Amino acid sequence: MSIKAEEISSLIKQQLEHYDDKLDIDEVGVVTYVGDGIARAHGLNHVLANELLEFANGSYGIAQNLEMNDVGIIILGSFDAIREGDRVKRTGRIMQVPVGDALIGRVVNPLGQPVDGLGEIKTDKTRPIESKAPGVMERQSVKEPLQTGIKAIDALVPIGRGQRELIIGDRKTGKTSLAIDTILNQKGQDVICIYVAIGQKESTVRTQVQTLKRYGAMDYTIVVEAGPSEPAPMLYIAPYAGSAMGEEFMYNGRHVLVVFDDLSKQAVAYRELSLLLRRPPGREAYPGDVFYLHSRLLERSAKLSDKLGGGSMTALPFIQTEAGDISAYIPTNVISITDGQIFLKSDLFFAGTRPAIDAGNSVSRVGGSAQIKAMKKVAGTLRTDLAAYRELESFAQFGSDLDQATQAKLNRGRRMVEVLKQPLHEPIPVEKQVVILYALTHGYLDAVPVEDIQRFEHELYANFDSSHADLLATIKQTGNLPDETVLTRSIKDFAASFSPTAK
Amino acid sequence: MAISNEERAIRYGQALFAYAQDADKLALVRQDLTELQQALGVNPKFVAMLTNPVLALGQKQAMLKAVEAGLAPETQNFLDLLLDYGRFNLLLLVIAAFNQLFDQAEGRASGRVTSSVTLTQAQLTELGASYAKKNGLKQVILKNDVDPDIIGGVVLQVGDYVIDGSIKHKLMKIRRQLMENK
Repeated sequence: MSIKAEEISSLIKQQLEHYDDKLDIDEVGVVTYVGDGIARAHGLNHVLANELLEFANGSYGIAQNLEMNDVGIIILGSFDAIREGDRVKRTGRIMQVPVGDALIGRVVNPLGQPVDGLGEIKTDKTRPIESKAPGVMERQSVKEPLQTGIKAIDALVPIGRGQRELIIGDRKTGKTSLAIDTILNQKGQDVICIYVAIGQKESTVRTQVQTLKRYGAMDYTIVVEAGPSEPAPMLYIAPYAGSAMGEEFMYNGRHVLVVFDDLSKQAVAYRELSLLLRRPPGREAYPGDVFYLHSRLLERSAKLSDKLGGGSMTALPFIQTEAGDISAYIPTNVISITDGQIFLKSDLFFAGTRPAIDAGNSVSRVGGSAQIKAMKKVAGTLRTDLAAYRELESFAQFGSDLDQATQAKLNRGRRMVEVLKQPLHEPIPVEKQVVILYALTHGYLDAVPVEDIQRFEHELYANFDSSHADLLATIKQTGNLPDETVLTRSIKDFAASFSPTAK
Repeated sequence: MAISNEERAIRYGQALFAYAQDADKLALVRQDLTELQQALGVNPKFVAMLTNPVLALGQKQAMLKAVEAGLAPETQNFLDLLLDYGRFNLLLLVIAAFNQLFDQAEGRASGRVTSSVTLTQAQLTELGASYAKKNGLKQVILKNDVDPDIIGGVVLQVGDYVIDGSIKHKLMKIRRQLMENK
């Protein structure tokens, strides 16, 4: 490759033509303390809260504590080269991140800079990371379902577009897998997914991105990543940056799913910042505004009114509990903010019930309005039936001579649990979910041995795909159950032809 | 949360300023304080002695009386008050706060000019006058720092504001523009 010297100089000349030789008047302060991701500066008397500040080494910071003659600043990025006595100047802007279609398919840090090595992101649109949530008149109630492709969720705790559903559980109970499966199921649903990994191991994030790529889900997904080795301010702003990227699509009338994995780590990062900024500690040493930290974030997800384009942003925040304790400070806070929670239990997980959703403790406050009619019909009593089964199960362990009705209930219960099990990365379209749940609630599975349920399910799907595609299409298109006599007959026919595994 | 020494000093400074203003002795008090500040610069042990908890208050008061003789009665009263309230350690901060209020009331400001070569007094005065005119001040007193690193032009800093007209800054700006537009 040869570039002529003249070309370069003409290029530079072109660039310099746009150089504006205005005098810069800056308001500055002097750094008096720096360390652990925060700095304090003397001066900057007119700085505004949350204003972006620029340090002499080119790093940026956000003004947090405004005291007399003293400003507490959180530093975004490297603080190694900042020294005591350095100048820090106001920029007059607030923190913004690039947004738009160019980000889709990319892995970025909380500042919107690419970290996937695929070159620069060409977008000139930006949005402030902190913005006001839509108000009452700008919203409408949640009414469209967001299909997660997970039977246990779509049937028991349905999620609607614009809802905020908390996913809560101990470490290693499959929280992240739920989110990844949900993202995989958004293929072809015209939903943009944003996966915000906060303090997750870089290796784990890498694995998730690989999974998303393998299933073709990166075509509609943005990954925002703030690793555990990043300074606390990056972890703190990551979910806000993710929301800002989502809002751009939402306000343009599109549907967005944003996953915050996980907010406990963000709260811990914020606690670190607050303590270093010498804000008074409260319960569990979290600062007084830790509730507001999460409420202002989650309030930004919404279903916009038709006037504003009817876009939506669904949030799936994660909270990690310790030993199943959902009454700790951060879990109770976020439970009270969200529109319901999916509680994952480690006992269930290790007993092989995966996804390990605890039906008793999981709710969705939006509920039935986020389900298609057919699903509402077949899954209506599932929750209570399951709860009744769990109760009966522990009771039945003490005696074996049970009456016929109880036996039947236990049988149905075992099959219910079996049907709700689902392997990793195999989201099931809603119409198929309806069929298997219809078969379950109408008793066509009672004769199938428990260990054959999964095989029965798969073969039933295959059978419907090949012989009754019209029924599936009806459910998908109208949202209603097809003619029940036809549906019943097709399931019965299949059940009759099904041969249980020889013992 | 406990308030910082700076905040305390500002409160005392405001009180002193209002007191001197009511007595119409602003200029005199200002002069006293300037002298005091210079004396303390030479003799930093004085404040340490007057804040030393080992000495009895009576002894300190006697010592202060000896020093403050010859100052305006308003200044004397204020120094006695600082000592009685156990805030003598704030003296320098209070003086700074007072000076700031004084300058503000008088429309005066002080600042620094950084240049690559030493500026003449006339140049400094002219710079100061033009800055004062732009910002609605009466007088701007500038001190000259020489820093050959900035290559040419001047950097003017008054209070928290910096006007950077140096060649170095311009080169950095060009560099950034070239890097960004690739």
